[in-house]
Amino acid sequence: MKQLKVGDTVTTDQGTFKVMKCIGEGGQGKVYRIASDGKAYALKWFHQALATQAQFTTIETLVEMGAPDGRFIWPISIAQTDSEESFGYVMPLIDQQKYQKLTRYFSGEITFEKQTHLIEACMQLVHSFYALHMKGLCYRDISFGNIFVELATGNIQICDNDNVTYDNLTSPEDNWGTYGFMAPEIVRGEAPPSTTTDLFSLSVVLFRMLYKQHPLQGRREVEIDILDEAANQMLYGQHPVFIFDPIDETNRPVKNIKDIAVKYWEQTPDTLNDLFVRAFTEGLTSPEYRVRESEWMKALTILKGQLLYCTNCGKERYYHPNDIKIKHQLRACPHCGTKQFLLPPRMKLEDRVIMLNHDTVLSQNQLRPLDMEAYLKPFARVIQHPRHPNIWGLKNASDDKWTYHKMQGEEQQIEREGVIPMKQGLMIDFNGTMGLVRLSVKQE
Amino acid sequence: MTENYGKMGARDLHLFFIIDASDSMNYGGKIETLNNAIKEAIPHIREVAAEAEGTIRIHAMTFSTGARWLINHVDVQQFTWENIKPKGVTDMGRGFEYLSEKLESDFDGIRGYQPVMVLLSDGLPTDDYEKGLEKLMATKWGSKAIRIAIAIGQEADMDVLQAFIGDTYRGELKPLQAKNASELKQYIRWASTAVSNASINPAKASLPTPPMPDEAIDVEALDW
Repeated sequence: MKQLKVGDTVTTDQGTFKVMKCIGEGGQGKVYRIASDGKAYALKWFHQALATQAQFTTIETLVEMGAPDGRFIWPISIAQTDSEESFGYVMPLIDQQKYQKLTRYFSGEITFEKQTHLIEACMQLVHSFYALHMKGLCYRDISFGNIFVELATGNIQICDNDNVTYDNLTSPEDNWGTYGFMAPEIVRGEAPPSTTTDLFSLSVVLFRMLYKQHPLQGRREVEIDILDEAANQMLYGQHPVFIFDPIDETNRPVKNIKDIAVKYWEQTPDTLNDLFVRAFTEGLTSPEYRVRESEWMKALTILKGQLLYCTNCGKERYYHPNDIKIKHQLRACPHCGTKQFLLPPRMKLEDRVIMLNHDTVLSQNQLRPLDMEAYLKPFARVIQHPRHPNIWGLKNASDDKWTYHKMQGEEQQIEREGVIPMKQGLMIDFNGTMGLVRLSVKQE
Repeated sequence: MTENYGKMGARDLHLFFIIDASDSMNYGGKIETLNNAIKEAIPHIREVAAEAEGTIRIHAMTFSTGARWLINHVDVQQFTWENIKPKGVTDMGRGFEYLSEKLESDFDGIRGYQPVMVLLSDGLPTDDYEKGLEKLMATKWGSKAIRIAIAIGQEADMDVLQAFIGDTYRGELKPLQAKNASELKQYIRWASTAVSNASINPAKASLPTPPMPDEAIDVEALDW
């Protein structure tokens, strides 16, 4: 059997491509860089054993359907050579200078400079899952090897989409996936992959991105010496337990051995933590209680608005609403331990409080947190007055008209690019939603 | 905020090379190819390790007249390969015994994935390999290992190699027979990368597809 070589050509219904270089190899086949007319693409070429009629039909269907959104590296067209021993498909090429495999984030090699970008990546993941599910598809085998991220922005790309399938599987033979991401009912062989099992995988991905540790890997995992099939079955299928389960303490993080989630959990506001508790208690056993994409989007939107900078060490930390409500004092900085006496300017929108830091950029999801596409649309940004840096304004980055009342009571309309100077008690009408601004206040 | 405050507690993948260094390996370029194959696999094993949360630790031993360890627990990022110079008979049983002793002594308290053990041989064992294999399979780490066997050339005893593989992948795995240099390189590469990766990222009971030979088999070119 001949394998593809550099210099070979493949034909598709979009023309012929020249094989330039092998750029990757996986269990299913090899990936090559190909080119035509100066434009570069990627080619996945299946191992002969997997180049079946069924696989061919799957790829044809995916090509016909088109990608759910621009973040999916999706089959564009089927590729063939003169020899009929195998086939492949053409897909967009990921710019590996810009995008890193998410596995490198977990191996500790790379990190997000700003929490904002990490949250953005999470939102894009949620949105992409949603787009996939809206098309009646389910992912089946998400893992960190399939997700690429641009650290400077949080933009993601999702690959290995030839395992995507219609949400209508019934056969237990369809029960496969990677341990750690598979829903417990799949691990136990009780149910096939579906959009509901995808929701479990999504909750694992989000938890790992935000707290680093796997939600089901605490003491129970540490006590396993060799992680074989039987151990994986117990850990993820027969007896999965959340590391922060409110009642069952048998799987807590193990101090000094496997405890990285602890600090992140302590730093994160309750609203998000509570959602993960639900995802990994009721969500483990009752798929109908799993957290839906819109709920994640709302929680991430609120989280983004809770980011603020420690006035002592300058590192990012979170605002905890209950701290202020109950103790009237923000808890100490998780990095430097200093108590924070100065709250940044912030804005109340409906029942949410959004921090207005010097560099805050807000999107429309702050106005409509359950709207899956709103995070892509600009809303507002904080700017400092060019000559008076302690005077901050809120700039309209949207196409809506904002209204507010000036000191003398006259109504002022602000269009795109317009700036409203921030004042204590400032009320803005964001095209129907009311926002109330409070300035920095030193607390005793 | 994205700094690591706390321990990840990652596991390592332990990869064992169990290599036949008998006299016959000197002929037909077998040992040269094996030495080169391991050297060439190193960057690819490093890639697999780079994406894993822990690392891949290499152990290598040879068996000829008796057995000896070359290296133990070496992080693949620091791993370099010194050419083996074959000499002696084929005490495979002794090799299995040494391996089981190491597994009993060195692996207490270690957390890992299923270790990957790659046996490479070109001929028949000259000692009681069954006794050694029994000892190996009586150890926890030995019995739970993913055991791969690569026959170098046509003279290896496939039954012995199959016995080593045992119940790995529920008995669906056969010894890989390398009939020329190119196949040996591919099989060593596959065993050390694809299988390691499958142990680190286990899917429900799946076997990574073995590599296919590059060219159509030319009977004239069989040189072992």
